[in-house]
Amino acid sequence: MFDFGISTSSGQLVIHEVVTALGESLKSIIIALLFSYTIGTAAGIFSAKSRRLRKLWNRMEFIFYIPMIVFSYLVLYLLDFTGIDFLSNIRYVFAGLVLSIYPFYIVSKSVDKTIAEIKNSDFFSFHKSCGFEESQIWKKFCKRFVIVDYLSFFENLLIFMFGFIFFVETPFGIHGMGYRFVLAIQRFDYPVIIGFCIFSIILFSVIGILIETIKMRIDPRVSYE
Amino acid sequence: MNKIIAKINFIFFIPFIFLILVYIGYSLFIDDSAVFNLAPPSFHHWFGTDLTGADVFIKSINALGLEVLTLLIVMPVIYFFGLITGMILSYFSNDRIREFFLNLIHYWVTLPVLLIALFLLILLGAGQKNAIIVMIFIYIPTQALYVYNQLETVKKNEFFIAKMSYGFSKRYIYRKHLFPNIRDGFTNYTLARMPEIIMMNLALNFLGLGVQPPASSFGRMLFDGLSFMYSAWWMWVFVVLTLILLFLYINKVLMVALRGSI
Repeated sequence: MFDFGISTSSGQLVIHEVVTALGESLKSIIIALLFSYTIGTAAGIFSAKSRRLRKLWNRMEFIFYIPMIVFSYLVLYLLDFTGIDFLSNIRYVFAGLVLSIYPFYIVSKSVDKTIAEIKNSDFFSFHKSCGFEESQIWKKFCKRFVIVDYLSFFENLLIFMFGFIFFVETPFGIHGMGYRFVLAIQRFDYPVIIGFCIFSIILFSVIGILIETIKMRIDPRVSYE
Repeated sequence: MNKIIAKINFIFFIPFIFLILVYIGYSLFIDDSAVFNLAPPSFHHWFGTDLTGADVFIKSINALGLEVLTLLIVMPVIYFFGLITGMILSYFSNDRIREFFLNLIHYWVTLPVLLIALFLLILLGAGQKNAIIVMIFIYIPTQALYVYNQLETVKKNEFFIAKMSYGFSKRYIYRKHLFPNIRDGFTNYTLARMPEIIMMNLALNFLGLGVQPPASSFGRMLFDGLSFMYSAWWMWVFVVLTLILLFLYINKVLMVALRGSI
């Protein structure tokens, strides 16, 4: 029922193509998510602690707005220059790194902002005056804020990554969703194009609903609203 | 601050204009009848030539012009229509209609914008004109949502209730009091979308759905350069450098200058 027809170029079921491509794309997307959340959190904490770092961070901000295709080309050329075999599985790691540049910035900025907001909030100073230590307050009360914060832009990050993944997959030669989408456009393979679009929209809607449900469980303010 | 921005503007623009003038002058006096396919950068072809023998520098200038033109069309249109739609949503007090449109916009915002743009562009047909129309169409809802949220925040202020109790008409209050309150924030928000619009244009052109040959665009030039990544590096290196400079200029100079003048 949901096979989206047959590809005019390969003769395969579109759903089969979509699922295979999704598996390929997920390899670099998971690496990108891991990188952006772990390193981004660390960078956010550091910039919240040090003013100098924050200043430097703000000055270098424009780098994160440069389209990722620019980084893809530069990384690919550097890999060739240094003699690294970019056709091996290591390409997923580099593709993930390029893909995570902008999400990394978003995560670090968000962590920095959340830390500043929590530190200035009334309940933080109230608990501090009650005799709690900062680490205790963070452990007991603030974990939830950070998770809610992470969840709030998780969907947007995924949309960004899936949306612009062809900027990474085409140069790196990863046969994922982006690469196949570009091929389908070039070959006027309409069933595949429409299949990819509908599948992505369904996927993001489901992810959105899941995230909202998790948010409702974690954050009581959402269910109250 | 303005002096610094003027200085940076000078640093960016004067050499750029000088280079173009020198290049044009040089091409007027030199016979360019011989076509050199994939010629590396030389005194005659500063950025080299591509597979068809076209000068990469001239193509880059054309592509830059296209980006500027796209920005000049898309930004004012999304500003105007976003403002109007947001104001209409906030103005009418029929909750059902408002909720319906707000839910629609909220749902729209959560969808992958680029995929929708691609889908629409495939339906409409490739071409820069259609790409611009699609970009305008997909950016208006987010613009409207911003305006609506800002208006709702401002409406909670006491001056709004006071003006209403004085008996001023709603239209008058929206025009004379609410709009001036949100104008600066909304202009900044629209200006901040400049890199986003360029990125979208780049993506559409990279996929071959934007401007069609023989006209050139950065996205298409990058895609063409991919096949010659190592053998003819000049086909993409200069495009990449131009893009980095363009984004540096937009973020560090143009947006700061425009914000300063608001």
